[in-house]
Amino acid sequence: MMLNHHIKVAIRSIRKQGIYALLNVLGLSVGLVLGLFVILLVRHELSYDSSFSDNERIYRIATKGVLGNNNINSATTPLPLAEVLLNMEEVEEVVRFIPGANNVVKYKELRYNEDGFLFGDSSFFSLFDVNMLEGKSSYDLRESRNVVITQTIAKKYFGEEHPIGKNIEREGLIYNVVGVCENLPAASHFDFGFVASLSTVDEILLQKNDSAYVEEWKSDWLSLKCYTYLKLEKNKDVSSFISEMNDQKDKLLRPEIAKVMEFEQSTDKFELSFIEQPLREIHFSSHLGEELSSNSNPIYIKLFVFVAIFVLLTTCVNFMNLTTAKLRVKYKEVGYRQLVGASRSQLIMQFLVEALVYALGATFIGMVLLEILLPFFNGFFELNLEFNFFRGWIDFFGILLVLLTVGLLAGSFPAFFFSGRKPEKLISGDYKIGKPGFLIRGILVTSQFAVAMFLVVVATAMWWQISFVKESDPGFDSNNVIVVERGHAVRNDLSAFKEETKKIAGIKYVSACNSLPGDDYFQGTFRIIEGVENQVMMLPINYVDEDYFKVMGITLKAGRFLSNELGDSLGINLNVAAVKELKLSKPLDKKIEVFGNNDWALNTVGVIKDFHYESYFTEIKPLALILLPEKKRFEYVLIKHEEGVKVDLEEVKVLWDKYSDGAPFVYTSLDQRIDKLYEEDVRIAKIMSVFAMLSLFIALLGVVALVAFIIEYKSGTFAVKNIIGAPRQSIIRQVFSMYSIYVIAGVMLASVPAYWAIQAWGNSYAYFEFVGMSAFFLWALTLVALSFVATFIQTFRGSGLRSVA
Amino acid sequence: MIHARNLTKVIRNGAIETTVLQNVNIDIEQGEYVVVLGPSGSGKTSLINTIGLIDKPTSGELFFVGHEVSRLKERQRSNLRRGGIGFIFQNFGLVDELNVYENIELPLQYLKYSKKARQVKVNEVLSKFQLSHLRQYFPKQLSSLQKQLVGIGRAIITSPDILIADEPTGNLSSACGNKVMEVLSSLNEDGYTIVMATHSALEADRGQRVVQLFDGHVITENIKNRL
Repeated sequence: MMLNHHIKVAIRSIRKQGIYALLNVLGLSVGLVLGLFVILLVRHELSYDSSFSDNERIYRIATKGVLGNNNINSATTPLPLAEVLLNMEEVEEVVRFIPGANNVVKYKELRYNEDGFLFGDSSFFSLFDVNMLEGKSSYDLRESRNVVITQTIAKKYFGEEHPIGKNIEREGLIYNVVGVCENLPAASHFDFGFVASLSTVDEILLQKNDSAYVEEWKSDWLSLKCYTYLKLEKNKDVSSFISEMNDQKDKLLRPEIAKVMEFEQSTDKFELSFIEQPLREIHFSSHLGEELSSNSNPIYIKLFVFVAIFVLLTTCVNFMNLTTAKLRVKYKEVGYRQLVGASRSQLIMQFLVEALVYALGATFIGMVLLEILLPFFNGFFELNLEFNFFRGWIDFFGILLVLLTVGLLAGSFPAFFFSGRKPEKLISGDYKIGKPGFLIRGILVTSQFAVAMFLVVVATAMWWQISFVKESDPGFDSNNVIVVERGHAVRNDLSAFKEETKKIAGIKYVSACNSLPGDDYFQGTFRIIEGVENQVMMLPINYVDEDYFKVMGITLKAGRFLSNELGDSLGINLNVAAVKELKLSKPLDKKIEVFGNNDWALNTVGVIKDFHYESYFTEIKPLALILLPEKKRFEYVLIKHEEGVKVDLEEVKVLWDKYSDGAPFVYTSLDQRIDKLYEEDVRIAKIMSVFAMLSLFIALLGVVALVAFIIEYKSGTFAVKNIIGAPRQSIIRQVFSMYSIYVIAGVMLASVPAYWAIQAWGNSYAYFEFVGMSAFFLWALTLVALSFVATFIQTFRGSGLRSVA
Repeated sequence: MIHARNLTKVIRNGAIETTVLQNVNIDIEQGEYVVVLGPSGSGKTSLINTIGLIDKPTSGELFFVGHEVSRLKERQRSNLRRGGIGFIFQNFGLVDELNVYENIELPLQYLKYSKKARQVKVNEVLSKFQLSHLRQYFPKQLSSLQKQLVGIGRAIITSPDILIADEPTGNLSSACGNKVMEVLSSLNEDGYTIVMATHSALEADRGQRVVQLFDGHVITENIKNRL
């Protein structure tokens, strides 16, 4: 095997090559870091919800349906569906849960806003089998007001105390902690801090309503309230099960629909059916309404995998180029080795081992880099990846496999290239690289530049769109607005709170509203009576107070803004899109009835200009603004302050504490909230930018290799030119003219796919601004210029030329 | 040992044909020291490469230790070369990454000798050429003469049937050249068959027999020692 010998020679030759070896190892390690990073990323994404046992038999039930002109696509289901499911023999287990609203949880002096509060069926933890750390045997979620908390929550509230048996308070109800479980893995499509028994919901409702209401609430098929999961028995066919389930539910659902339709005298189409979603596919492929968290887009994963494979391949190619560029030295050495008795396989081994030694060095550097960079990656890309070389054999073998593949790939070309030559050619120095050899190298550079160009242009277009979204006018003024969450804490004395707050220096207006961009808007069903025809329509509603318009700087089109003084408690403001959608020729003073409640008719008092009340991803849809009714719960208090004035939020907090009965004072700025909507895209753009920069680096490395090769390839010509006194520029020009065609070809080739990719990506936005062709030109010029600089430095460094001369 | 009959070598380069060897007949017997003499371009290297089984003749016959080898494939020729022919090069042909010891050891490694056997043989050669003190040195630390001695040491390490030397003194001063010629003579005395190419008539005198080449033809064969 002569392994010792090969390794020794490889290490010595790497040392001897100096800067080239460094470039080579650096290029490989950058490629490997990227490759490993993508492997971690993809593995994280693919591991979603795999922590639950029997996850391949667990499904979430989602709802599809039609109501009048509206499609229903929701991850939620009606509450009574679970009873149908439980009676079916294919079903092993059913779990429902209802996420609680963001509310204050108290323990002694501690108060925190908690949005991870679920109400779940008693079988919750047998389906989602998180490890129970305490109260394992005794926890019971059948009894009302029992709650299981996660270890993070336990630490947050109880510190070192023993949590079991302690009481916490939420919305006036006292809960008894019966268990502590591990946190859900980060790779789960939902998260929670508390799981309280589902029966507690009855008590919450009973606080405000009678028992008949509660019974009706629980058996209501027509509102989608909870998330339903089920585990099938082993070896059952899910599709036949689902169709059977839909048959079963129709028996119960049809009469209910008929009843409502009769009551409403409506002829609209109203249908609901249920579909199954395999648990592990939710993160990847589910994009319904009311998702529990924002799910991933598989196209990004594909893109990353593609880029990573490409980067690895191109680093291998660069390795081959850099190795074979130093032909002159290698050629003779291989010849001498052949003449002293090396067989072909021994020579091949030598080159493969050399490549493997490089790859090993690169892997080592790469892993150290990854270890150092991963926290930055995680922070920068807002990920939660972890890398531990010795965590498991899979990691170890995975890395070994990558290492071997890279080494073999990188070493294969030089190995076969050199070992196949005849010795007489090698030692006489009478070697020629044919045109094909040069062409192949050129095409490799073309592909590297194509990818670099593709990535930089796409990344630029992403940033362009992101800045378009941030810079363009959304139709309202989000500057200088502070959003205080869980505004209904000051519900009882809202007007007094507003008055006092307004007295603080710098504050202009204070308002309350229920929804902000990024929230799910409450959907109200309305009936519009236009002549004899009437139409039923679902409209998003935002409950606001009269100062909302001033705080948000909304523009009026016709009529007037809602106003308390003018008695608009039965008034409504519509946006222009709503007027168009409802085809109202004279929108003002139009009566709009609330579906299912004939007594409650609203009067259109004003039309407002369209504004982006959702995000730029969706087109501006119809919107109805209604004054906040007296008892109505609302989410936010908005505080508008003067431009450039720093408001003393401590003063606001003092007032808040006075009026809110000790609720936590949690605030952000409206700008920050809106930025959050585009967080995912900013993250992707960041990843793309890093990829783009790395691939640019690798492409330039490719140019360095190609130039080194050209200098070798044309050494005779250059030597003669040098001797007869040709200026350096003419040599540089010749080198440049020989490879620039490949660079330019790469840049041009990438332009069309980049254009398509940008358009495809832009499709997710309803409002999209194309970056413009000038970005293409600028980047093309930059890339060509950079490649020229690489040539220039290398030729001028002169080492290549001097040795030739 | 080596018998060439009507060896012809034509090199084609596109439309141009160059005849570098024409009807060369040569016989080399065991233990002979044959010098191929001729000016640049006379075909010395071509002849020596053909005899050394590096290159194939275009036509003619070549017998190497009783085998007809002119039509053999590269792999078969390579098998005959391995261990059977030792090469000495004008520019020494040492591997830069290997030290003196390792350079000399290299052929034995390729022939898969055991470590023990390699040690014995390499040490023998090192002391024979008085290179033992340089064993850890790398080629770039050596003088030209030392390099060539290492090259010769490497060539004889496998005790080949024949030594082929192409201008072994071409990169050496005359004093060093003399030393190399002495070493070759003494190797011949030890029983090695040697074929050497040179353009120096002075060096040619060291051989037992001189084959003079001009434009690919053998002009004279001078067998001085037999006279």
